[in-house]
Amino acid sequence: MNYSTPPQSRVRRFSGMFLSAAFLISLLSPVAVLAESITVKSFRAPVEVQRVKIPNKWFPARVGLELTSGDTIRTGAGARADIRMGDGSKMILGSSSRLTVQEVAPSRVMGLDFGRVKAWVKKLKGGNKFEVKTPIAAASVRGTQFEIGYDEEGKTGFLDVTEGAVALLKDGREVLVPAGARMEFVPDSPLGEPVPARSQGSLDEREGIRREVGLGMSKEEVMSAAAEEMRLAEYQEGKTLIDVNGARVRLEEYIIRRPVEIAAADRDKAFKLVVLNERDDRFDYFYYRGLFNATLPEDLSVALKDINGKLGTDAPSYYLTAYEMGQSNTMDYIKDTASGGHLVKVTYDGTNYILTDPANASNTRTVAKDEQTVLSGVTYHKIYDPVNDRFFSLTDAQYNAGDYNAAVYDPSNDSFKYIASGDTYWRTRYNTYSHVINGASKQSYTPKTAGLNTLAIDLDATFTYAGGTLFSFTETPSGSDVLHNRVSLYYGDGTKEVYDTYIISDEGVIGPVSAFNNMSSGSAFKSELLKWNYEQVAGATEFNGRKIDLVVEPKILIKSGLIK
Amino acid sequence: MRNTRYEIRNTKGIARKVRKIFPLFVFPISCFIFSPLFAASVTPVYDLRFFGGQHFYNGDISALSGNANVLISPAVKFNDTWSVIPTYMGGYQGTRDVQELAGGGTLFQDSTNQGFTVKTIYGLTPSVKLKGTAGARAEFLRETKDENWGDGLFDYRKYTGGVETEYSYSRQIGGRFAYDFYTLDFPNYRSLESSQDSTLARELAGQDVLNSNNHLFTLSGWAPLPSAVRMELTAYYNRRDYGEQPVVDASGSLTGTDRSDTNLTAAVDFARPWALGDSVRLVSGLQVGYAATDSNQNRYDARKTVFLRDYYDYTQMSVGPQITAGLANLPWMLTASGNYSVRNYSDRPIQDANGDYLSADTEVTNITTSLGMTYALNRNFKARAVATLGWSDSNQKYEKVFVYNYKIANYLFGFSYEY
Repeated sequence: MNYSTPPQSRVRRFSGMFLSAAFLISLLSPVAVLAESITVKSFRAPVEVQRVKIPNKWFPARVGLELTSGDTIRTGAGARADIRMGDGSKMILGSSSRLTVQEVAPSRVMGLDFGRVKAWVKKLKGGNKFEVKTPIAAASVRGTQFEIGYDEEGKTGFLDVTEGAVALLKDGREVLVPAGARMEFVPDSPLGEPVPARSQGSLDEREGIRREVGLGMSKEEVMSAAAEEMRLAEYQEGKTLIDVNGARVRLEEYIIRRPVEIAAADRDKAFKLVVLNERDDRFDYFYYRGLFNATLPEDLSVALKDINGKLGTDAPSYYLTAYEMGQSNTMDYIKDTASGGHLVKVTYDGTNYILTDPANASNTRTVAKDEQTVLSGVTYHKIYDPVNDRFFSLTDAQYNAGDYNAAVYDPSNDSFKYIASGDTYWRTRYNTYSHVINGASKQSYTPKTAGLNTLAIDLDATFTYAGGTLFSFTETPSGSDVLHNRVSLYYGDGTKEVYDTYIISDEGVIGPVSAFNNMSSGSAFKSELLKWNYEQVAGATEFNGRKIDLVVEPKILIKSGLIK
Repeated sequence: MRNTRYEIRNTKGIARKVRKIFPLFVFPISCFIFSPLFAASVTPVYDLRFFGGQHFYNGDISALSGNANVLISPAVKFNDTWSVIPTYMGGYQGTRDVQELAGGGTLFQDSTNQGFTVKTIYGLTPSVKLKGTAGARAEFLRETKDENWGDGLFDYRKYTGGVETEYSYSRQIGGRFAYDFYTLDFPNYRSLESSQDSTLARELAGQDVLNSNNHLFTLSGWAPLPSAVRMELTAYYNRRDYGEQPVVDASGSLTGTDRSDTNLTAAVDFARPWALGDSVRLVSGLQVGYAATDSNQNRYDARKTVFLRDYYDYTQMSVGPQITAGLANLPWMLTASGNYSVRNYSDRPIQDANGDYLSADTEVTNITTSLGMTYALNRNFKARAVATLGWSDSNQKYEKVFVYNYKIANYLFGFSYEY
C-alpha cells in the first residue's frame, strides 16, 4: 500500500519535530540556566535575603533559594551561608556580612558591603570575570580561591589569595595579588604591595586571638600578684630571711597562752614565748615559759613591762613566781627552771641597799653598794648590783675607770635609768633554781633558811654543782677586738659546757668591740646592744659534739629578763 | 626524713588537686569532642621574648643574666560560633624587674613559670560571647644559692576555672564580666609551728597557712570619648579564703575563724593617638588605679608583745602616664612611661630603727620611670631595650627584716618574635 501523507499529518510531523526540538531545548536550556544561577545551598541562621523587587524587606533564607541580580543576602553573628553557582564555583559568606548580587551572568559581580566572603572560582570562559567589590576596592579573577573582607567601622579591608591570582582594583590602580599573598587596603591610601599571606588564619583572627590571650594574661597577673603579696608579707614580718651566706633562715615567734603543761588552776597566769629557727640542715628552738602571780591580762605587755624590775614606791601588779627556759636542737636540750618567785623591795640610800621581803617585813638585810678590802696593798671593791643580784670585784684602778651604777630598764622609752639615792626598786627573786643538760643536773640552789624567801641569792641560797665544784673560764677566741666571747664551765664530775656568744650584725658579721667603746656597762651598752643580733652556740659534754645554735634579737632576751 | 614526708604528702595533694580541677576541664574538653572537628581551622599565635640585663640595688650590681618568655597559642576555630584557644606560657627570669625587687629583694636568685590555659568561646548572639576557661600554672623560685628547682619555699601552683560573658555594642563599645575560681598552693611551705608538739605550738595552729581558695570577679568596659580618646575601665574583686590560717586575737592566741581577705583593684586607662605632621605618630596614655585590701587577719608581734589589728589592710592610689612615639617609614618606636603609687596601711603603725612602734600609720611611696625602644627588624622580629629606675620611700624605718627605703634600677635588652 502506498499511502500519501495528508496535510494534517505533515502539520503533526512538524509539530512533532518542533516539540522534539523544544523538548531538546527544554532539556538543554536548564543547563545553561543553571550554569548561570546562584543559589543558597546551605546556611546557619540567622541569614536573610532582600529581593530586588521587594526593597526594604528581609526574608529568612531557605535552602535552594535562587539569588538574582540586585538581591542582597546578609548573615548575623555566628551565621554563615554557603552559596553555589551553576559552574561549581562557590562562596562562603562569613558571619556579620552583607553581600549584594550585582550581576549573575556572563560575569559574576558581587558587592561586599561589609564582612567577609571566601570564594572558590572555576575557570571562566571568554572575557568573563568573577568580581567582588568592597566600598573601596574590588577583587577580580578568572579562576582562583581567595578571601576578601571589609570592616565597615574600621574602613579597612583585606584580600587573601589561596590559588591563582586576583586583581585588586582601588582608586584606579590595579595590583595583581598572587597565590599566597595578602593585600590590605584603607580608604585614603593607595594600594601598596602584596605581602606574604599568613599560612593559617587571617590578621583579624590573629588579633582576636591575641586579644583573648591578653585578657587571660591580665587575669593571670592579678592572680600571681596574690601569691607575690603573700610572699612579701612573710618577709615583712621577718618570718623568712636570707643570711649573708645566701642560706635561708626561717623564724617563727609566737606567744602561747595557757600552756597545757601548766596545772589547769594556774594556766590563766602563764604564757610561753616560742622562737623557732629553721635552716636547711638544722632546726633549733628556744622557749621561755613564765608563771605569774595573777591572771594575765589580754594585753600581755602589761604584765611583762615590769618583768625586769620596777622603779617606784608602788609594787608591780604582776611578777613571775616561776619560769622555765629551754633551748634545743631537737636532740639535745638545756633547761633552766626556777620556782618560788617573790618580790624583793630594794631601797637605796646612796651607800647601802636595803633588801626587804614585802610578805615578811622581818626578813630584811642591808647590802653595801661598795665594800672595799685591801689585800697586799691593793684595794679591791666588792660591788653589789641589785638589778642582777650579783656581786663582782674590781681593782681600785678598774673601779675609778668605770661607771658601775645599777641601771633599770624603763619600758616606757626602751632605755635604762640609774638607781639614784632615795629610789625604791622592786625585783623578783626565786627560792629554787636548777640548770639541767640532757637530764643531768649541772647547777642548782635552794634557800639556806627554810621558810624564808631569798633576798640576795649569793647570801641566802645554797648552791650545788655537778661533781661538787664549778670553775668558769672566759676567753675571746676570735681576738680581743671583736665581740665573740667563749665561756667554758668545768664541773667537778669532769663534764663541761661551752657557750660561744656572738654579737653580730644583720649581715652576720661579728661586731667590733669598738662599736661598744665607752659602753662597757650601764644603759648605753644595752641601748647599743639593741641594734645588734645575738647568736649563741652552746655545746656540752652530753651533746657528743652536737651544738645548739640560736640567733635571736637581744631585745627578746632583754624584754623577757634573760639578759640582765 | 622531712623530704620523704613531704613527697608522700605532695603525692596525695596532687591526686586531690586532680580530682578537684578535673571538672574545670570538662567544659573545654567536651567542646573539643563534640564540635565538628572536620571543619576546624587552626591559627597559631606565637610571642617569644629573650632579654639579657642587670639590676642595680643601692649601689650593688648584679651579674649579667637573661630572661626568656614564650607564649604559644594554637587557636582552633571550629566554625563562626565555636572556637577554642589553648595557650602555653613559660618563662625564665634571671634578671629581675624593678617591681620584683620590692623589699630590697636581693632575695630572689631566679625564677621560672609554666602555665597552660584553655579558653572556649561561644558566640551566643551577634553581640554576646560566652567563654569558659580552665588552666594551671606553676611558678618556681630559687631564692638561695643552694636551692634546687622545685625546692623553693615560695614555689606555688595555681589551678583556675572560670566563665565570662562579653557584650559588644559595637567594635568601639563593649564590656565583659567574668568569674574565676582559683586555688593557690605553696607545696613547700609549712608553718614551723605546725610541726611542733602541743607544748610548743598553739592550739589550732595551721599547716598550709599560705594556701588559699580565691574567687575573682572581673568587670570591664570600654568606650570612645570625645577628642579621639579611648577609655577602658577594669575592676577586679578578689575574695581569698585561707583554709588553714586561723585568725590571731589580741592575746596572741589563734581563734576558730580562718583568715579571709578581699581585694579590690580598679584601673581606668585612657589612650589618645596624635599625629604631628605626616611623619610623627604619638600615642599618649594614662592609667589611674586604686587598690584596697581588707583582711580579718591581725598580727601579734611576739617580740614586742604588741597586737596589731587589721595589720594587712591597705589602700593604694596610683597614676601612670605613658607615651609612645614612632616615625613614619622608620622602624623605631620609643616608649616612655612612669608610675607613682602611694600605699597606706591604715592600721599598721610605723616602727623606729629599733623596732619600737610609733603612732603614725605606715605609708609606702613607689616611683618608677621607664624608657623603652623597639626596632622592627622585619614584620615579626623586633629588637627591644628598656631601662627602668625605681624609688621606694616610706616612713617605716624598721628595716631589720624588710627594706622599705631604697633606690633600684635595671636594664634589659633583647628581641621579640611575634607571629
